[in-house]
Amino acid sequence: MNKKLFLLCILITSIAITGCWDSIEIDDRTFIMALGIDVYKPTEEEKNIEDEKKYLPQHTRPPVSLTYVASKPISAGGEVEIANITMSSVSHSSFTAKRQMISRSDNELFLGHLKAVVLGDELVKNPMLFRETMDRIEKDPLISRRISMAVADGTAKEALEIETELEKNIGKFISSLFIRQERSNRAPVADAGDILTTLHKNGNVLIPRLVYSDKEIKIGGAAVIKDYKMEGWIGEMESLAYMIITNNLMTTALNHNMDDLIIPYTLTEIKTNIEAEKEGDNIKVVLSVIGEGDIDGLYFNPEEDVLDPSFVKKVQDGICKDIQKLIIEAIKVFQKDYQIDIFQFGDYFRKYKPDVWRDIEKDWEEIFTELEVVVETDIFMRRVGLSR
Amino acid sequence: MGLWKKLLGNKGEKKQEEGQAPHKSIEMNIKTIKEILKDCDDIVYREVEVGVENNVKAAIIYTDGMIDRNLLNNYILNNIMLTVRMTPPSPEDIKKQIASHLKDHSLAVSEMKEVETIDEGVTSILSGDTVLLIDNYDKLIIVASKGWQARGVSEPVTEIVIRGPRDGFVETFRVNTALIRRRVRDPKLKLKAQQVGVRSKTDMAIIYIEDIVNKKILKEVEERIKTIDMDAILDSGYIEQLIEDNWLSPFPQIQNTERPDVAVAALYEGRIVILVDNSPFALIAPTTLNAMLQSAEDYYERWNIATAVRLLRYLAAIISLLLPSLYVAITSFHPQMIPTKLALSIATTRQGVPFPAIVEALIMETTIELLREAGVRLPGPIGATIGIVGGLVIGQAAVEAGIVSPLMVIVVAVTAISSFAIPSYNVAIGFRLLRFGFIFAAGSFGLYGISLAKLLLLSHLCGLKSFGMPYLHPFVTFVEDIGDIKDTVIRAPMPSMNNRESIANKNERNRLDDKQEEEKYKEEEE
Repeated sequence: MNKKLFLLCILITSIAITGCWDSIEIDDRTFIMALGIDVYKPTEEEKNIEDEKKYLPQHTRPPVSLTYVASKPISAGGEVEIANITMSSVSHSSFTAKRQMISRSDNELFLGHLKAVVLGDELVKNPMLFRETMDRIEKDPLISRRISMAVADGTAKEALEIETELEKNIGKFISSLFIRQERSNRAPVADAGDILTTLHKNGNVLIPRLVYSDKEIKIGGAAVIKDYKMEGWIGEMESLAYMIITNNLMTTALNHNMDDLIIPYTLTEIKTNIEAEKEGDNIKVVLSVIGEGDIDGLYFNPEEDVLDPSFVKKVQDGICKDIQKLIIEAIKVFQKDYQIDIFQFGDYFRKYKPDVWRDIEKDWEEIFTELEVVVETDIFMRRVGLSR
Repeated sequence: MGLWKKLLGNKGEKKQEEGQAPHKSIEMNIKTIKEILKDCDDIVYREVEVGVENNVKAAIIYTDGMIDRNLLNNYILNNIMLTVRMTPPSPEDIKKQIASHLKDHSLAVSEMKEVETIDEGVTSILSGDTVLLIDNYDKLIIVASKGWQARGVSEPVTEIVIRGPRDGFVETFRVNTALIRRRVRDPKLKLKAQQVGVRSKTDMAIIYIEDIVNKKILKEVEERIKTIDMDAILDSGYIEQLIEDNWLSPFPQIQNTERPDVAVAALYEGRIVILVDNSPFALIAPTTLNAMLQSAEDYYERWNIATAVRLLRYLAAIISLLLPSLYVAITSFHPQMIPTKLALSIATTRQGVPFPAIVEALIMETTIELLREAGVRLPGPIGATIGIVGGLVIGQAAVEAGIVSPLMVIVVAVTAISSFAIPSYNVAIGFRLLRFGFIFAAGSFGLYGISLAKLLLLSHLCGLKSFGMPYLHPFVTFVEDIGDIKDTVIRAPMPSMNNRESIANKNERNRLDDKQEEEKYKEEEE
């Protein structure tokens, strides 16, 4: 009997200790779709600027301002519609900001459906704040690793307050923007899980850039993070090259200039292979890019015959050169301007050429800036489109 | 098993009743019977005098309404009163043996026996047989004359199939045994009849095919039936509950069927069928959860269709068990698990609903159970009306009044439909009962609670046995019985189903005749 009682006690306590105790009805939750994090700067227009300024000097680092974009069904006159709500809160830590927010909300702020995190560029330029923010994102059990991250060219708050023409719900808009971004490839991968893993390695990463105007938002280019600190921006073409080198490109559309003609083409099935060679003291990295493409069009009744292999060959060679140039220039930017091995060539040496890596490991940062990179491109134009 | 033995095992064997032997004098016998059947006004005593000189007294006793009057008049009374005088040998010679003469030469009835105690005679009278008493003869002659108003063989109500035989068991024991015998023309089919119930003395039979049946299981069934100690057995349900392994379980461990084809299919698989008089439901033991989720039609339809339907049925079982609790768990605890658009849409529909999801689920589930129960009680045409009024009107009104969300109505409706897709009604009720447990588990601990409840249920099911057969067979079986998988979620094509399940006797696993088997191997060799 005692044994049964004991077992029963264990059963009850184990259920009571481990069970989910966070029952909140789905309609009592406010679904936060996007989160913006900025460095807080009281503006002069605010009346209580003197009061607000009190916050500033007490700490070695400035407070942060968190902007939440939430979707919440609100019943208005019998009909229920999904409202788009933007709320901001200032806090000394992004961890406490949500708690402060709760005191101003009738509902639970629910991060389980968070789609995007937008960081202000000021914040990313401060390594302390950036690391704290990344820690907050990584530690929250509800935030998915599949959310998208971007650095706003400006402040996240302004970006998230834009009402776009196409979709009034900015949370939904930004989340679908990132899905489209995966296809357009003018910015690096925005996946928070990937960014966190890369950051864990050496503190260098590319985070997509979010550019906004009065009515529009777009994703393109990237913020270059070196040692948890933003060093600058790279443009869309460099981002594209980065995507090709890191084998993340799904498809992209570009133009090729050939003898006054502009030939639009689409690249598909691009694969990049990295090989490293060591000849004496000279280390060389060979990138071979192979892929396929389509010529999308030319112009009406062209003099050139698109069905003529020699013409296609000519275009093909031109495109190969274009891509080669694109990649070499992008690598140069990282070698000379930022001096960070964002393509993880070092990782390649560590994995596949451990003996070489042992010698170069210590001076890798310097070696990388002088590293000889050869790019070989082999792109085959499979389809030439409809002709005549 | 242990529990079953503890509660039933110590009652011991029934005491054999020592009956009173008939007296030589017919008056004494009639008096005794009249005393036993005092105040039974449906018993008819007809005293006649037989013999050439009408000097031998005889009497017939029967229960009015339970006998075939035509047979009694034309072949019993007519014969003992008239024909007996015309038949040689001469009356003088046989005066002493008039009883045996009557028995052997005069009574033109097909079934007759003699009993040596009054009590047996009384039981026969009450079973619808006629007792013939003859003066100076110390045995009772029982003439089989059963014949009463009974329902004819008709289509089974609970197990309707689109393709398959339309006949179903009826309340008359003999008709049911005939329905089985018609499908098994094999002398190995054994039909062991006995009477159970101290007062009701209900006829029942254990039916099996001698060489296919597993002797161990047969012995177990026979032993358990021997321990039945009840005054009356009114339906096979009594027997089911008295001999099952674990009566605390929500799952029935004995299958019942109204269809002779299902019963016979079970016999050919090596199972045992128990028929009980006055009940159109035959019992099949041992059984498995898998067998409960099968329908007779699965074997009559082509295998690919049958497999698809079976998959659907397993899905229905899972839905009917889990869907409302999943809804409760996800909406109350884990909205991050569903797509954002769906989460927002659920939140939109739940806007203004005053109850938490678990209360909502319980209200709707209770309502649908009420509707179902009311639908069973109400006479046919009104039952359908209640279904429409309850299902459509109340559901619609509840949504419009904002008491429940429309999605909850869909969830409850899908669950109800799924539970009707389970072929065995008694398993479906088990699932219905467990569903409430799952809703509570989900409401208190979310998906974690559902997983705990699932573990509990699985551990119970894994331990459950039906007459020594694992209830989850063949899902929890040994490698040598892996062939049984052919008749589970999938239904293998007919030609590949040569082997019986491991329920059957080990030597008779192959369905083919020995000769056929040899031929088959020869063909393969060639």
